[in-house]
Amino acid sequence: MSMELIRGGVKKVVGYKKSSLWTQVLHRLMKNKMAMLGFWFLVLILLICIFGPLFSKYANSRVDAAYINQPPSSEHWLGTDKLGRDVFTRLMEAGRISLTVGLGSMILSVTIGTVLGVLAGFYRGIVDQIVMRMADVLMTIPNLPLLFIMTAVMSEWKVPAEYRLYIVMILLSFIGWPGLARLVRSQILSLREREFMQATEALGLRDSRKLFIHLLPNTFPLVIVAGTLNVGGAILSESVLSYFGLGVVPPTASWGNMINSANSLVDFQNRPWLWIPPGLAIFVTVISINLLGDGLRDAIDPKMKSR
Amino acid sequence: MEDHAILNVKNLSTHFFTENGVVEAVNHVSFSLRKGKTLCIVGESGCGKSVTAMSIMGLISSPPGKIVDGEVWFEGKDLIRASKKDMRKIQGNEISMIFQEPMTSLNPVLTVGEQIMEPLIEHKLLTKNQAKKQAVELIKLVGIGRSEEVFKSYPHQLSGGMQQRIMIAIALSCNPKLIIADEPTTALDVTIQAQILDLLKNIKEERNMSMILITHDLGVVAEVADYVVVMYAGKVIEEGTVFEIFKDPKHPYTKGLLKSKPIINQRNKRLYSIPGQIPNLIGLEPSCYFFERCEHRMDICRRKLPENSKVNHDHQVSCWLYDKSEGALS
Amino acid sequence: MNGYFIKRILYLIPTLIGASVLIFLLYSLVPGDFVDTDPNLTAERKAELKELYGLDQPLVTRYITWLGNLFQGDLGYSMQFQRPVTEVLGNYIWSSFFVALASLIITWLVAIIIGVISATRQYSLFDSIITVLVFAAMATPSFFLGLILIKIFAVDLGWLPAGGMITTGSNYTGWEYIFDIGEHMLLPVLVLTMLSVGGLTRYFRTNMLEVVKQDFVRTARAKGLKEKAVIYKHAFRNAMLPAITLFAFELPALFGGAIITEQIFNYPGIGAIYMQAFTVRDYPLLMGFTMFIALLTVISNLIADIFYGIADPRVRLK
Repeated sequence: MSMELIRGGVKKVVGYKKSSLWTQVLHRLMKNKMAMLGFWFLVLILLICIFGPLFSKYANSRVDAAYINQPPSSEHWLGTDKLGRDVFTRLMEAGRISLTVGLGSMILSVTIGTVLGVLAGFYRGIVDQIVMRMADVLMTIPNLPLLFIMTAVMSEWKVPAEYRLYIVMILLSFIGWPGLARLVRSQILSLREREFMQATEALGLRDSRKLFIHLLPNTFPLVIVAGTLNVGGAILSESVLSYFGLGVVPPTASWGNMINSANSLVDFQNRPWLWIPPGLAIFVTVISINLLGDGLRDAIDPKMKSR
Repeated sequence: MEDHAILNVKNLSTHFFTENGVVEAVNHVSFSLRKGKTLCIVGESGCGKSVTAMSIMGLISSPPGKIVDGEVWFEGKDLIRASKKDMRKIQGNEISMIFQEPMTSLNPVLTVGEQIMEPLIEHKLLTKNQAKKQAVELIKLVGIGRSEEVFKSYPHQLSGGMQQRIMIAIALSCNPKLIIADEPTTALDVTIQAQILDLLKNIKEERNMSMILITHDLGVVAEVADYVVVMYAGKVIEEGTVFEIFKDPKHPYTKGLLKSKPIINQRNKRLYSIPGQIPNLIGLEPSCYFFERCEHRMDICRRKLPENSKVNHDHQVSCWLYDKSEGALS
Repeated sequence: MNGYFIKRILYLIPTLIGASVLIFLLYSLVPGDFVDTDPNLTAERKAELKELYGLDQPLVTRYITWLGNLFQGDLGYSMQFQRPVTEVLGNYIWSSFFVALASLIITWLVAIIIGVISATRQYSLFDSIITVLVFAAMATPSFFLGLILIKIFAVDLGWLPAGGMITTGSNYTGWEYIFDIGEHMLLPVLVLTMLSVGGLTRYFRTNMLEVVKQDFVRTARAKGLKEKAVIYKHAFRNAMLPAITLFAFELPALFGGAIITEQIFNYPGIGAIYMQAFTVRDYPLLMGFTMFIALLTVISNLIADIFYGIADPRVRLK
């Protein structure tokens, strides 16, 4: 009851200031220290990965046979690998790949999930049945075995190494869309019941107008949050696949396949600089993404605030 | 008069500290309730009625809420400063509360019987069997037949009216001295509303309890109240006996409220409504909070908070129209 | 109530058929099979074997045969082990099951206790620390965590074995044997626990925070009940209810997660078998395993629904 009251008060403030929803969200997000920490870390990681290799003299996997398996030094901050490549430079290059896969697969799954979720929620009936049964099927088979099979198919079709990252992206979005579609669908279904949608019904608006002007924008907040968290999940999945040699494969570097060097006993025991940094890179990136996503959720829906 | 008071609220202020600012939900509220009487708190929604009740009951959740000032005297104890343990002995035992939404106020996973038994076991230290017998009696008392059957049922199996009767049974279980009913009929069908009110009124009289009834329905007030407190934007703006308030309302807001009530056999062209809405309770300037909506506003209303002024022994109002002190003339 | 469950069961059939089609299609898309990948076979022998395993049949026929066998509880014949898939799974599933079960119990205990405590002390230092740890657990790739743990506890400190299920060449009996296995299980269980404990803790914490705001909790307080009774009798029960459905997803997911941990810790369970089968393209085993997990998911879901129906009076009586 008392919370109702406060919300009532807050609503009025919004009305008075005439500030838009998004300004409000941004304002709340900026006040969330953890979320901002995540955000700035992410910006930092992105900048390092994108521009770092440009300033490195070891870029483009330059091989230096004279410097093989060197431990970290002032010359090679994170040492060199078995081909004499600078690990730090490779880490940044791998970051480009891992982040690309994460972002790309997120965009794909959000697109597929939103389109299918909206269609299912809006047209209901048979469309809904088909979409949701497909989602059920995909959610019934655990992700990992499913991904493994699909990547195996990819290996058998002899996809060139440089294209594999795009295929990994597609595969990750293939298993990523059902969750998003369910989310969007339930949002659309509940929106339909609201008064303003019944008003559009009474006004006899065209379907396309109802969809694009009234329904779709209302799903954006949810989709943005789910999408952000999805990037983290995709980066983790990609790293698992690449670690097992099924995702992005050398010579293209990704954080996952860099950790792969831990599979050799000597490297694992004596050359931790080869596999610990990429693991930490994944950790820091994913934790930053999750903090940002979580902060976004709180900022967008203060009612759901969990912290 | 205060000698017979069972409850004495003095200068109560409850604020909520939100990210948008401090919501002054209850602002220096004072009133007292005499033993065996019914006091009605009236006002539009969002004017601080419920928060007042929760503050008395010690149910303000902190954060974000906090009682920042005031005293609530009940039987020689200041409830605001009472320890948690002492307060618990009063809650549900000497003062009990009935809420607006019976549907959500009952625990969905416990049987009705179990929920009635709880305070009996907690406060009266009854055994399970004794408590069960008593609970069945209570269910009968609130006018539900098949009491054994209802005892074993879950809240969702009962209608809204039945659920509210159960809430009343819970409130009555320890035979409290004071019942606070927060809009107990708002969520119910019109036909059920009268039944529930009658039930409350009868039991209150039978057991000689005191009652605070929060409502926005002036018809209800006329029927059950002895004393009326009118709240607006977290402040008491007028109070008096029910007779005084209905016969001779002073504050423009009270007048407006009375005017907006339909009267049978009298066909107005249009039902009156007070223009505008309650101001935002964050960062209010010292002024009469009703200023913007008032038909009789004067210059001073914008600048200064009106003080309480006595109309007569049974009637007080805070409005510059009736303030005969010097401040009003400046 | 019976009608509800019959409906639920009927509902599962299209999902299962869909899953079987997807699994079958995916595996049949892979060019090359067990017979093709074996370089020691002559072309003649290959054709013979293909006929024997029915690999020369058209896709649809093969699917129908496979599905028909599936209905009779026959998951196929492992080419690598030269034994029925059910038998292979039956041999290896228990070692995985114990690890999964141990981690399931630990995960839930830890998640419930920590989640509830941190919810009742929202904004406290304890709560903040837990929140940070939860985020950390959710951001760590499990294989990386496994590697780090092996590096620290097995390689550097030498406290625990690096992998396997029993010490090679040992012939312990009785308690020593159990202790030996326990020692080997410790790290895999830890990794599997870390895999799911973060999300679950967070889930309980959010649920609890949500429930504590409900009207009936206020009613419980208004009754003058002790804070303990308010939290554990009124709030906790309601917060736990939706978790029952979650329980269903956990076990199958843990079997999925076993693929990673068993590979890393070289632990002989179905996850490791799956990876082995993968390298030699033993499709019947791969398909059988995947189908088995899908079936497990579906059945656990059904069981969860039933339990939920029993636990929640609102569903129970519908």
